[in-house]
Amino acid sequence: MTDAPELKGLEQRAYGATYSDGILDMFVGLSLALIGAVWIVFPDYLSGATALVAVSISPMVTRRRRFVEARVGYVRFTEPRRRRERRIYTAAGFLFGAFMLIARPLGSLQPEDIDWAVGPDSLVAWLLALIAVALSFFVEGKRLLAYAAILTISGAAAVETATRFGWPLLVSGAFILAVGLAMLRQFINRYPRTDKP
Amino acid sequence: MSGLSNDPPRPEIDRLIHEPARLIIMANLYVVEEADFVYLTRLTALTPGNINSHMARLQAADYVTVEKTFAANKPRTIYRITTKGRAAIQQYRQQVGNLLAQIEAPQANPRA
Repeated sequence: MTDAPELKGLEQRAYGATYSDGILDMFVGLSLALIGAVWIVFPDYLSGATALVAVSISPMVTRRRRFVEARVGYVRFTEPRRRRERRIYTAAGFLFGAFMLIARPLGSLQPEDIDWAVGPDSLVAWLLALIAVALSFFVEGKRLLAYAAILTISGAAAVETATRFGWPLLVSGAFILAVGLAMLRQFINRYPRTDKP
Repeated sequence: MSGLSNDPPRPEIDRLIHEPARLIIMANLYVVEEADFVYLTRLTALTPGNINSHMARLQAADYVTVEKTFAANKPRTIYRITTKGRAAIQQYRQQVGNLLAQIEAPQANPRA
């Protein structure tokens, strides 16, 4: 176990290489887009969509690991790094849990209901900003700051224009999904699959 | 003739680690707990043959351990740096650091 912060840059580079596949981004983007679309079309099923995302996390993590290991190889990082990862996954789990709890009452809301239902209009924008900040913590990428900005701006725009609140999630999710796809393409080109031991 | 008697003592540097390819391998293994062969070829950009030959020397010096396992019915070779190897890297880092510290730093603005 590494017990000193030496060669920190090398460890970060290695960690970055194993997380440059964009699959987490794609998953986050797809989840946001799905929740947003359901919120718009079938608001009563919002908590179901959120639950579907929640149960997809574990299989996604397993399949992603296999995919990455087939290209970058297997690596086990140090205990401090793994502890940090566990903390991030726990935070993401709590975030989804909290969202599931509020999804059903929020899903039945119409834009004109917001004033009396949840207080100030900006609350929804703040909720989206909270999700974005948690997501940036989740994936540990600077690009997530841009995601946070997009979610916050689209949330604020939805409040301002009294649009259904699924739209900012759908638009932001589609954008994040596109970024993830671009990263995945780059990753596959950089690390072609190898079956050598 | 090896040198004058009043020559300054030559700094002791671990030549096994000093070799660039082995230094890259050791540094990459130092910052993780364990890694497999594919990972090392990717991260070090060394050829498989290079890694094999250098690993044999590092293993002989007891700087790394090698474990051959199977993952998803495919063979996997996992490398771990040993306590001795970790200590060797730390010592090498200090020795080279001390040596380089004796070199005068370049002037920020030599024309001034």
